Amino acid sequence: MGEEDWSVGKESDQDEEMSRDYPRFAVVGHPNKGKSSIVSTLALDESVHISSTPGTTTSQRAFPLKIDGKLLYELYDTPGFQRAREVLEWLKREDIGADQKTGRVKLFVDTFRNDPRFHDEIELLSPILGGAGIIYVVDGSKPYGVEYEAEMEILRWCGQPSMALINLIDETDHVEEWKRALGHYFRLVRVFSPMEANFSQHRVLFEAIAQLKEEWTASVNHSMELFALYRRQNISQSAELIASLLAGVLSHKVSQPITSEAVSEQERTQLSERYKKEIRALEEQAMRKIAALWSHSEIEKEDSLNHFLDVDLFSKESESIFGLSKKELATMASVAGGATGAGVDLMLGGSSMMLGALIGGLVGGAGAMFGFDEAAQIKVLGQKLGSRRLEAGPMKNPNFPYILLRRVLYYAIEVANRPHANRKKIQMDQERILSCEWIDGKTKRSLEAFHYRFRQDVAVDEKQLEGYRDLIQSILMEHISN
Amino acid sequence: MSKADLKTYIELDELMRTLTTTHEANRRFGLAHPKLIGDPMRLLGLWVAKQRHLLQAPKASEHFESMLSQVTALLLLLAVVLGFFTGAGLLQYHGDRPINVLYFFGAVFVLPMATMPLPLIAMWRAGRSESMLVHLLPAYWMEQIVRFARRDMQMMPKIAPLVVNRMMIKRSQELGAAFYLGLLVALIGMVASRDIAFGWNSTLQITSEEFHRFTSAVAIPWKACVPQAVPSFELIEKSRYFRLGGGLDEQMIRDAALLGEWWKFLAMTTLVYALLTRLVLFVLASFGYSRAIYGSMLAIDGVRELLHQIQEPLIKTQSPTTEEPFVIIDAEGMNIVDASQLHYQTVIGWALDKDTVALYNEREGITASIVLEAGGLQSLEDDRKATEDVSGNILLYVKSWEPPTMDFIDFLDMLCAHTKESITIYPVGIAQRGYRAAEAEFDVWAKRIGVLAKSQIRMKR
Repeated sequence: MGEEDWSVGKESDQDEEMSRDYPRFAVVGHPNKGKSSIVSTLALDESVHISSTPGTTTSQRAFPLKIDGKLLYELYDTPGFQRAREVLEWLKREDIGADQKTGRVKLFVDTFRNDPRFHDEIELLSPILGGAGIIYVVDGSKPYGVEYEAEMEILRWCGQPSMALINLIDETDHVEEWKRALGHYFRLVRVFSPMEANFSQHRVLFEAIAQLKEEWTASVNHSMELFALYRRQNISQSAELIASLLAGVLSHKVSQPITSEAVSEQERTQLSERYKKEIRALEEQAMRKIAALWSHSEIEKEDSLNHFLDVDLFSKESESIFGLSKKELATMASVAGGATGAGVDLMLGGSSMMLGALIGGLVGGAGAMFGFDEAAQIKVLGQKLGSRRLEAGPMKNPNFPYILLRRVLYYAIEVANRPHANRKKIQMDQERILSCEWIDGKTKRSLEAFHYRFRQDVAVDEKQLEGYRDLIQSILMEHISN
Repeated sequence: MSKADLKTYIELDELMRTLTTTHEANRRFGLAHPKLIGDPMRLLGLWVAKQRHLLQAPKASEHFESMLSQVTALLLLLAVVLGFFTGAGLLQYHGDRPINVLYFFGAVFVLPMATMPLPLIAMWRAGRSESMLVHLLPAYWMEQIVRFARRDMQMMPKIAPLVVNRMMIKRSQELGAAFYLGLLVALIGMVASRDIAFGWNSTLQITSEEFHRFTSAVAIPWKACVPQAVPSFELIEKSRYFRLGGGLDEQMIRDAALLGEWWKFLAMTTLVYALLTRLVLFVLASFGYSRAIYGSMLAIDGVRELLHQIQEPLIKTQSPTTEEPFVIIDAEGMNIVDASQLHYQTVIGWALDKDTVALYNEREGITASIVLEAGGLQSLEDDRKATEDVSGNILLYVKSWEPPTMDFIDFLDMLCAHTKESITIYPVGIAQRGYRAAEAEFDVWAKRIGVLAKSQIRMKR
């Protein structure tokens, strides 16, 4: 695989070394034992086909770990063995010493490269012969079987560093018998459940993989640091998305022009529905972004809390001239009148005792107050000076931000902690969400101050959003395996 | 933090709505500018500059900027002219009485000092989308009138209220400065072109000493560097006049040269309290405006994500290739039988030893004349032999949890070639499940065997 050079300036010697001889690992085994699930979880890739139907993986597929285009290691998903006994019999046909066994396997691959009968074996053996370490996968929930021995023997012939992973697909446990059998073929045997593995288990597995070959240790350890960095970056960005969502939703308003004399109940209901729809869309959008951030774009959710917006929402009528409400226009006119009066006072050298300012202010304010409606109807250049609108939002219900916050936190934590092999729907269960004790009293008080601020019609500045983001981030850090 | 400008803000907003860039491309951009990491404004500015050519013409930012420049130039000109004529009006001199310096002083000291809190409070409250105080600023109203008159300006890009408010505050300071500049030009022009006698009077009981103390306090900022612009007590005393005294008395006429000295004080007052304060407010407003654009740029949907992509290492673990779609062939017509038949001529255990086969037979009550082993540890030659040894109908035990491999299919083909008798495949489950195959496991076998479409093969559930 060619390497892209993204770097600016000279790379360090260590980096260059890593780039030239990066570790490779081929995940191999019997069909339908969870190889693709393991690859999906280790590579954080949801595009891997996972199915109970055997033979879903038909060719090798590489999953490189790259940082800024620089390759650190490569993981291969491979098809399962199909004719292991036949391959092994072919390998054993010649009486050869241990030093020639790898060569014999290479000869097999070269000989049968175009033979469709051995397509799967060629696909799985090629990366190993190209230098990949072997990660042999078995299902520890099913009994050990002698039919595995042929394929384990073939792998031994390859002469590459190897380890076995016992994948617990079901609840039944045959791990010990597998360990006894695998111990004869592999130096390292580990249990790993890709459907449930959290980041700590991921890390432990990589620590084991790092031991396979001394030359690979630095690169694999560095990869683990990168995974941790990747998670921190994602936590930070998730917090940012959640903070922006809350700030956006709590300040969200909708309005529509009023055409008739009186606002009908239907108009109010329509506006209220539109408001709720927009809030749902904002939440959905944020959730989609969070899922994409964690490479879970395809994940689905089952939401039993569709009525989380069933809270009272009041709508109100507003009228404005040049964007100013009646009160604002009256204040403005009062100031303008006062200033004009003050000018007259100034011209009289103060002898009017500021009566001009007082009268001007009163006349201006009262004029705007009483003449507002008439002024709004005046047409200039074909346009009315005033406009009437029906407005809904921002949501004043004090519990609403916490319901929304809990929902989106729950979703983010679920997505972040979910291995990529797990394709089940996220259950947005109301009771489970509301029972999560994520927000303690102190945090709630801090959050409340921000929620109050978001509800005001004030632009939220960077610092405030940062403060809110930090609170969210600390909650996420606590609950996302890192 | 680098200076943010409106054009970049508008273009960034448009680019974020219309352009799709890849994470890789954004990170490459970040790596190409390593020194700018941590300076989001400069990064965004450069990023916009790089992508600008992709914006559709006519660019909204350029249209808006040109419109804004035109309106600003027009308003500034109006403000200078208004200032000049106000100054000329205040300095109108008829010769029958001195010009009362208090009028001009009021315009260049009292008015700017009195109105100074307005922009300061407006700056403080600028975050509100409908800031009341911003609506009091002259720039807001001038803008509203121009917008109302010019329909094309109503179609301008949507700009965050915070930016609009800050823009209004900043432009009000520009207009204020332009107004006072006009006033100063009028003062200097009038002083240079006419012989003006200044005086002061007031109905209020202000003594010359008090007024001197006041003017001295006002002149503190320039007392050290321009002492001649600080009115002396003599000037104050000699320039006081009373309306009932007829405006100019003999003494004042004798001191005409001295009365003209007031202009220096008025000029410095204009410079320091009107122009300089506006300048300070303008700097403050510009800073606030820049911060508002910065904040609003970051608030544009997708910008934070873009910055993360540019600044943070791109860690990719996913495969660059897509997986070939796996086609599941629907096998129809697989002959599935129930456990009714209890005797078979031959029973074969696939990857099962004879003891296990015997155990299964016993459990199921099945009897067999021949029991054979195939697969597993048997060699291919053993398998061949087994196919030759079969006789009559065959029951083939397989492990339900191990899906059929091609190794098994080869054996089955071989078996079919040797016998025309029925072959019943019986997937047996694990002991913990009572040797019953799980539904999914059975389906896997049924589908795979069904694909072979061999009528002599059937499956036992």
